[in-house]
This record gives sequence, C-alpha cells and structure tokens, in this order.
Amino acid sequence: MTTLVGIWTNLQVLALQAAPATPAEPAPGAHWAELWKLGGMGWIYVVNLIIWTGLFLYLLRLDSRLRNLEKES
Amino acid sequence: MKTLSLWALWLWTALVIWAAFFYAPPAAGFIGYSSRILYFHVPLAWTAFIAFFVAAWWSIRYLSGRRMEHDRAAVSAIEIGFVYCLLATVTGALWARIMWGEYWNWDPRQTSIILVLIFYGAYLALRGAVPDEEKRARLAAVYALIGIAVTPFFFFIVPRITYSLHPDSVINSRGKVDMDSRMLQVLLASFVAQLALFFWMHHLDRRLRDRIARRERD
Repeated sequence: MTTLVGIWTNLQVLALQAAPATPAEPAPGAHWAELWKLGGMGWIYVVNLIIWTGLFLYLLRLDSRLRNLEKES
Repeated sequence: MKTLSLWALWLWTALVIWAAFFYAPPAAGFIGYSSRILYFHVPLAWTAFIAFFVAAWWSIRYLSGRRMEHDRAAVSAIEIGFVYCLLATVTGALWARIMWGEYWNWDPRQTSIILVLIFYGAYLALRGAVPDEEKRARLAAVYALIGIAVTPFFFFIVPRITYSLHPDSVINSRGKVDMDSRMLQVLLASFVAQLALFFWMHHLDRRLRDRIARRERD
C-alpha cells in the first residue's frame, strides 16, 4: 500500500512537472463554446483570417485593375 | 511567375497562421489565446512603420527630382501604411479587451498609435485641401519627411519612456530580445509575410496610379 501511495505521489509530481508553465489556455479538446468566447482560439483565428483575407483580396483587386487598364491601352 | 509568387506568399501566410496557433508555445501571463494576436498585431505595426519610411524615401526623391510619379508613390505608401496602422490599432484594441477588459484604455501605446494615425490622416487631408498639383506634392513631401521624426518617436520612444501596461517590446528597454525562440521565429515569419504583401501592394498601386495619371494626361 505504501509503495502504491509512493508511486501515485511520484506520478503526480511528474505530471505537474510535465504540465505547461501557463495553464491559461484551454486543452485542445475544450468545449465548443470555450473556443468561440472572447479570447478563445476560434475567435482569434477568425479575426486573423479576416485580416489576411482582406489584405490578399486587396492585392488581387489591385492586380486585376492594373491588368484591365493595361489591356485597355 | 506572378502566380507562383502569389501561391508562395499564400502558402507562407498559411504556414505562419498555423505556426502562430500550433507551433509557438503559450506566452506566460496572457489570458486564453490572446498572445496569438500578437503574431499579427506586432508585424502589422512594424510594417506600417516601414511603409511610412518608404513614403519618406519617395518624398525625398520627389523633392530632389520633382517627378510626379515619386509623389504618387509616396501617397501610395502612406495610404497602405495607414491601413496597416489601423489594423494594428484594431487588433491591439481586441487584445486589450481580452487582457484589460476594455477596448480602449488610453495606455501610452494606444495613445501614441492614435497620434500616428491622426498625423497621417492629416497628411491625406492636406492632399485633399490643396488643388494645385505641384504645390500639393511639395507640401505633402515635406510633411512626409517630418513623419521620419514623428513616427519613431511615437512607435519606439514613447513606449520606453512612459509607464505602460503594454507587454515589453520585442527588443525590450534593456536592448535585449527576451522571448522564446519559437515565438520569435513565428513573429519574424509573420513580419516577412506582411512586408512582402506590403511591397507587392505598393508596387501594384504605384503602377496603377501611374497608368491612371498617364490616361488622364493623354
């Protein structure tokens, strides 16, 4: 019994040592709502995607406008 | 070649987004995933800074040669830089909402970026207020040159001489990079992507403005 308690305690210590330094982020399998709340992964991911997509679309728009003008002349 | 470059940039960007969420480790002291915003917010601000310097470079060229295409290039850089600066402000406000509970707190960093936006907003207003093309270009070029002094002051000096809740800069006040190497890799990779996107947009926009000007002249 004492050995089992010892093993258990050692396992707990090992688990604590292996845990990330900041437990603030939810685990990968977190609840769907957790992902989409303010500061959740999904929410921040969407904000980033909107920014990148917007910049790329603007680039493509500039390119197509320039091509049209070059075709005209 | 152009299509290949576009795909390469798109792929690089996709890799940066993936790395920001799954490769970079979580930062200490941040709520939730808020630290992931910084991989986009910081490069946006840096790119805006570069854009304003590019505009100053075109302005110097205009003042030395009085060629209108250099003036058009300067305004192109400032307009795109302004959008980047605005996006940096918005992403910063979103981050502040998560971390500080409010979108806007008049933190020195927030105040300084707003002043930069007002400064370059005034540049655009100045251009709209002067009808004479030569005079407008000359005034705008001098104004953009003043920006060389204004922008570094607000971007780099104000945050270092005032007390702020904002996290330390990448190069902190002791002149050291105090950041996990994986975080730094993602941050720099994101900066490269933003910079490439900016220079590409600037190149196309410049050519577009020149085309339009030529068509109007003919």
